[in-house]
Amino acid sequence: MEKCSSCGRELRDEGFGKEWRKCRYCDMPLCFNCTHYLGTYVRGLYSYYLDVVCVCEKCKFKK
Amino acid sequence: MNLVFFVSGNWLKCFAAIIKNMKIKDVMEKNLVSIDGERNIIDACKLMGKMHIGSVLVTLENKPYGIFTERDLLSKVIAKGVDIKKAKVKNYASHPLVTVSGDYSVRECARMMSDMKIKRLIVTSRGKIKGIFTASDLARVISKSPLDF
Ligand SMILES: [Zn+2]
Ligand SMILES: [Zn+2]
Repeated sequence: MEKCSSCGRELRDEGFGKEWRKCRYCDMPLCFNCTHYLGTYVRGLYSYYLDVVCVCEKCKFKK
Repeated sequence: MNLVFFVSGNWLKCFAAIIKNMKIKDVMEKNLVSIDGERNIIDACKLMGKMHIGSVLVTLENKPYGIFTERDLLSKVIAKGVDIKKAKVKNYASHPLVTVSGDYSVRECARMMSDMKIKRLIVTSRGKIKGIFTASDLARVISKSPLDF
């Protein structure tokens, strides 16, 4: 069982994607209460999009 | 009578759980209304009024470019006294599009919109636009859920 890297809450394996995710940049587990969101440029089929990804607080303010 | 309450209570819990885990690809608006970016803002306004929508997808050479929203109309056009009969939509649309995968849950998208202070998310799959999920879609989904959602 993983623990939220921010608040230490225990995260059930089967809750991945429903109750917790991993930070896109540092790959640390995050419960939904500690998740932040950030737009990152991605190349789409026709143009660039600003894709929303989940990040931890540290990575959000580092970027 | 007790049985009825037991059954309906369980049903409500099931329904609440379904809504909590509901993916936006299942509740998004699949029919995106679009306008050519070379058209004038007044055409976009007329289209939004006719279709009862708050935004239109702006295309350039038939490819998605951005989105023109009510907020763009207020802050970039009306507040600056732009002539809506002459100005082109492409110059006042929000660009680039803010996109998200359809596999995110409704609840998570609500958080995204609140965190990023936006009201619309364009849903994509493998770089291709599949639909739009807006704050009003969110209200629609929640309004159909039990009160303890
Ligand atoms: Zn946490
Ligand atoms: Zn991180």
